[in-house]
Amino acid sequence: MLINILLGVLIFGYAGWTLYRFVRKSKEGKCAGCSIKNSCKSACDAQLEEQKAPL
Amino acid sequence: MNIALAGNPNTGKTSLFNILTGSYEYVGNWTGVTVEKKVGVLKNKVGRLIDLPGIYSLNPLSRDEGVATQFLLSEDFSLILNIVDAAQIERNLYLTIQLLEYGRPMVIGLNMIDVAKSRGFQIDAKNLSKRLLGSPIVPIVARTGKGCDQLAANFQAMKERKVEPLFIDYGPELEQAVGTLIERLNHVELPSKRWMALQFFEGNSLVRELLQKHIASSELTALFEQTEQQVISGKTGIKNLQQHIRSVRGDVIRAILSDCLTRTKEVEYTFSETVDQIVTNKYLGIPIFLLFMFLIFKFTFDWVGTPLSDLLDAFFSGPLTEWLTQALVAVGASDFIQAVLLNGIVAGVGGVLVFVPQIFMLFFLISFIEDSGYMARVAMVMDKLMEMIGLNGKAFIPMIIGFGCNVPGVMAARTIEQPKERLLTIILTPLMSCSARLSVYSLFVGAFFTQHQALIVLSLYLLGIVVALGLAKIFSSTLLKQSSSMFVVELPPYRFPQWRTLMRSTWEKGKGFIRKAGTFIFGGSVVIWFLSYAGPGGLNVDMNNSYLAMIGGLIAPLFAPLGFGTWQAGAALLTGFLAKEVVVSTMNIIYVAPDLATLQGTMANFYSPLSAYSFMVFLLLYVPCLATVAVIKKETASARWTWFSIGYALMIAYLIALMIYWGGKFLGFQ
Repeated sequence: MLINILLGVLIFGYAGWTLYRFVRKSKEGKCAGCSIKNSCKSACDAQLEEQKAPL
Repeated sequence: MNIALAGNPNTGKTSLFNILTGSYEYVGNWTGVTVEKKVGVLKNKVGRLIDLPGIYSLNPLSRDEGVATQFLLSEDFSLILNIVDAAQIERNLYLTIQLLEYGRPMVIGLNMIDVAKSRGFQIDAKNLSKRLLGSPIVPIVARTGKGCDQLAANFQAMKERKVEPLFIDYGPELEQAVGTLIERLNHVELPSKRWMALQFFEGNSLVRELLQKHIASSELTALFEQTEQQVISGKTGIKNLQQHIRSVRGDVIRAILSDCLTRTKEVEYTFSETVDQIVTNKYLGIPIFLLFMFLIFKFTFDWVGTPLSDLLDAFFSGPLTEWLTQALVAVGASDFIQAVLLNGIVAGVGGVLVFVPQIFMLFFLISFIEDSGYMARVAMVMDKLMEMIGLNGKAFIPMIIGFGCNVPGVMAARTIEQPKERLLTIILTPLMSCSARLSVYSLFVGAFFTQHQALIVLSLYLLGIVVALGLAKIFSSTLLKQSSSMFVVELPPYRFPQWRTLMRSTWEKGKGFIRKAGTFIFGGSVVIWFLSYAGPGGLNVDMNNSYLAMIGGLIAPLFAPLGFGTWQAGAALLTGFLAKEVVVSTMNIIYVAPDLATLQGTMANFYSPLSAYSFMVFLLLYVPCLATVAVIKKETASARWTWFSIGYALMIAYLIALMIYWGGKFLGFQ
């Protein structure tokens, strides 16, 4: 019984946490939500928002 | 002392900067543009080095290129360090001449002297220096640092020297107009008035802006037009002032080089030039690009990727599941825990992980193409086509990046200067088939198109491109009308990529996919499994009565005309909005299959090949994933355009899937 509760808490706890983190990161957009952010040479350098040419 | 480092793009400017300076004193952006500004302290401590963006001419094509001119106009510096590519000396001297006309002391680093020698160029540096106002010229190899110390040794002495601007005679008409303009500027303090006048007549918009502060715009226009008339009248082949100035400078450069450059051997074409004659050929360029894409998918699916995936699948469904079951039984886990682990996590996460070999293969080949120098050619080949639809070749680069992941693709659109072209590129890049979608294709082509896997996937990628180009044409001639802009790309020489770099960039690109499987896909799988396990009737219900079936069933009727109106398809597509890989997890969970082959067999009960293709097309186009939507919102800073990019994608996906399904039926496909 104990092992079942332990496994259940671990699995569902971890699942909930990953989902929460994913949605939060995706909403940040940009590099945080990108799956290749570490290798990306194109756009992930520290560019400041206000220095972007306005649309 | 401030030293400005100027030169053409790809001349080794960054290498030289790194060698000459110890550390960055400042890294930031030039005001108003997205170009990195780097300032470093020279190793011999005599001053600071400011890295200007690489340019071919001081007359800017885009705002980014205007940085150098703006620098000359407004900042304080005592010396110009000009880096010149010895192998491309004729083109490079064009900038050198403009800088010399400005009239500041200059030191020239003659880079890639080794490459120039191998091409049979022998440059008489002493003589060249004499012809360029005595500016010291030091042959260097910036890559290795050879000669850079001698180069730096010249800075102190040159700083003290007083130099006159280089004088070139541009012919009586232009000279007279230059004289008039200088006279009009008599009362104002400006750096190098003759240089300003010449830049003005060459059409430099930044210089014109500055002049307008002192002279009325109408007067400037009148002077410009009148001079242009005088200069071009009677000359054949010269259509405007800019062309006249260019041609005079070209003559000067050729005269200088005829004295200082000897060619010891005639190399007709370099290897890269020979290859380029074929791969960037007007007619062959695009077919060759398509052939490369086809080969990429052949490797990814038929030749390497799929056999490896099968091995991995055999391991997941065989030994791994067995061990896990035994372990769970041994510790006395309940049925519920066993079900969530085996039917939820192993099915959902494992189902995505089996496609790791294919994803890595694709990334490996993309890295190969990037590093070999072919990618720049692709942009060039596409430029003609892109121009016809109101974009230019530059817009194709974010799209290619989008093949890996749409998020950096959308962000790469920042390099596009024209605001409307940039917006257009941002909203169309999500149509590029990203690697997450590849796992879904893998699942379906393995089930329904075993004989033609590469061809079917190629067709989907092409469909994405064609739809993007078609919509670009429509949008650019209706919603987003604009003036066209120019596209300049430097073609780096071809080279065989280094294995180490290739491996590293493949891993860097692909590891995100694995990490995602361990985190988000894991969480998603647990939730999806639970929704399929629970229903209004309690736990462990028949899946057709589960919550997931209810949710999927709500939207399923909408998809019936497209050939896949099942609750399973509806549920998979809904979850796919979070991340496209989740579609695969969802299918693995709801079709409860122990391995890939069984899953693909089960799917045959729900899809025909035609409806499977229609499903893939819908999935390709239907809506950008959550992360992409967020980045579109950030980059456009407009909720309206963000909703637009979701809305048009849904409509176009529905329309095209509908056409394919019914068109296919009409043609007799099943």
